[in-house]
Amino acid sequence: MPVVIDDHLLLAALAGTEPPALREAMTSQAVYTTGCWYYRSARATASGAGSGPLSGELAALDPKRRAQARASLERLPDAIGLISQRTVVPVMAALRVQRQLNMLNAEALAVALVTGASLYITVDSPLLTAGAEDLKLSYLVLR
Amino acid sequence: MATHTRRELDLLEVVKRARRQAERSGELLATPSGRPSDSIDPEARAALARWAAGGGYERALDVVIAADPDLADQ
Repeated sequence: MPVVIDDHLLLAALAGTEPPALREAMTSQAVYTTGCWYYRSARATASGAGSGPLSGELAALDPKRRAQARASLERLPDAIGLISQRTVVPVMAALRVQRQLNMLNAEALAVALVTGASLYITVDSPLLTAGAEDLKLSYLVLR
Repeated sequence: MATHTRRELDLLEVVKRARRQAERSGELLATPSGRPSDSIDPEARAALARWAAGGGYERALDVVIAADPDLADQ
């Protein structure tokens, strides 16, 4: 079964530090993320927000390698699937679950439905897991 | 025999249409993803791993989420 991963697992997959369950899934299944999770990780990665920004970690590299490193982090690898808003928004709009969803959770559930995937997440969010149960979607919380 | 409510049937139909759209537009992956980290510059990969392990991602994410509730987990 394909999997949809959250932003923490996306970051781990890019860094090569993914948990064994995800590593195993990636060898045999298609892995997707969502626009919101990709956006969250891209914003956090690109910004100087918070203490200890990523730019500090890259500062030791020479300018050319630093630019290459940034470029390789900015672009989502083709190996990670991303379903467009054109495709997924009608499903998000049609979702009927017991608890009101925000955009991040509605998109995650809709992408899992469209791709026939299981959700792999790192945050045990009652909003998302209750929605998944309402829609009979499987999910796995990985730490 | 399983029974479905009208709303469930409507959702199933919308999902079927979206899946066809995803197939037509090539959005569904045909092969396993493999290890996407293989396509990342090794030094960038190491910096990302150090940053995440040191809590940098969590701190940056807190700021991003505070500015946009639609990106919050709850």
